[in-house]
Amino acid sequence: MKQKQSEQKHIREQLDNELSDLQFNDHHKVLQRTHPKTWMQKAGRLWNKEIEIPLLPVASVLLLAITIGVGSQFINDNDPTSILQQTVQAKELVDTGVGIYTNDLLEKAVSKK
Amino acid sequence: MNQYGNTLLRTAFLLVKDQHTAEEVVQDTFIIAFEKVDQLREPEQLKSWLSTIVINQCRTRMRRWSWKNILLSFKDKEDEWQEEHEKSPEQTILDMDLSQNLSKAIQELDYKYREVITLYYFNEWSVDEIALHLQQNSNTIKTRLARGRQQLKAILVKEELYDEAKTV
Repeated sequence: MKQKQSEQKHIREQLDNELSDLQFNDHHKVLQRTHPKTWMQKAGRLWNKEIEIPLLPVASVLLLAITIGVGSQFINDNDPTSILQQTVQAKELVDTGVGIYTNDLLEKAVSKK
Repeated sequence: MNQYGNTLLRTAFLLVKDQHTAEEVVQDTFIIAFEKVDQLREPEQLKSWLSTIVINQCRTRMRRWSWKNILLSFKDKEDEWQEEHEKSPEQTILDMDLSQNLSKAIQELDYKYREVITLYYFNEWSVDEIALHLQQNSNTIKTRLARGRQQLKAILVKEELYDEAKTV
C-alpha cells in the first residue's frame, strides 16, 4: 500500500515537473464572462449561453411530425375523390345555355358536327 | 482560480492533449462553477467538484473531437502492447529516465485509460474516488488502471528503444 502511494507520488512529481510550464492565466477571460461590463461582453455572454435540448422528446416530436406529414401526403395522393377533383379542376367548365359541359367534351361534339 | 487553476489546466491538458482546448475547458469549468455554486454542498469538496466538472467538460470535447476525427479520417487504432515483461508496469515507469516525457506517453493512451491514469497518478485519487466520480464500478476502474499501465509501459519501452537506436 505504502509502495503504491510512493509510486503515485513519484509519478505525480514527474508529471508536475513536465507540466510546470502550463499555467492558467485566463482569469480575466473568466471574469469577463461571469461579470460582463461592456455591451459587447454582455452580448457575448448571451451569444455563448448554453442551452440544453432534450434529445429524446425533440426527436420524438420531429419524427411524429414527419410521419404525419408524409402520411397525409400519401393519403391525399391516393384519395379517389381528390383525384376526381383534380381532374375536374384541370378541365374548364363551359355553360352552353342548355347545359354545363367540360371544354373537352364540348370540343369533341363540335368537331363531330 | 489561483489555487486550482494550474492543477485543473494540467489535468485537462493530459486528457484533451491540446493546450488551447485545455484552457477553454478550465475557463468553462470556472464559469459553470460560478453559475452552479449553490450545488456545492460541502465547501471542502471544492477541488473534487471542480475536477469533476473538468472531467465532464473534457469528455464532451473529446466526443466532439472523436466525431471530427471520424469524419476527417478513418484512422486505424493500433493496439499493440506486450503483456509479458519481467518488471511490473509501475516499476518500469519508475525506472525510466526522468527526462522522458511521461505526460506525452499518457496522452498517447486511449481516452478511457488516459482518464483513469491521469486521475490516479496526477490527481492522486483512489480507485474508489475515481469510481465514484466516473460513476463506474471499482473493478472496472482497476481493470482500466492495469491496462492503462500496461499500455503506458509499452509506449515508454518503445520510446526508450527508439531513443537508444537514435543515439547509436
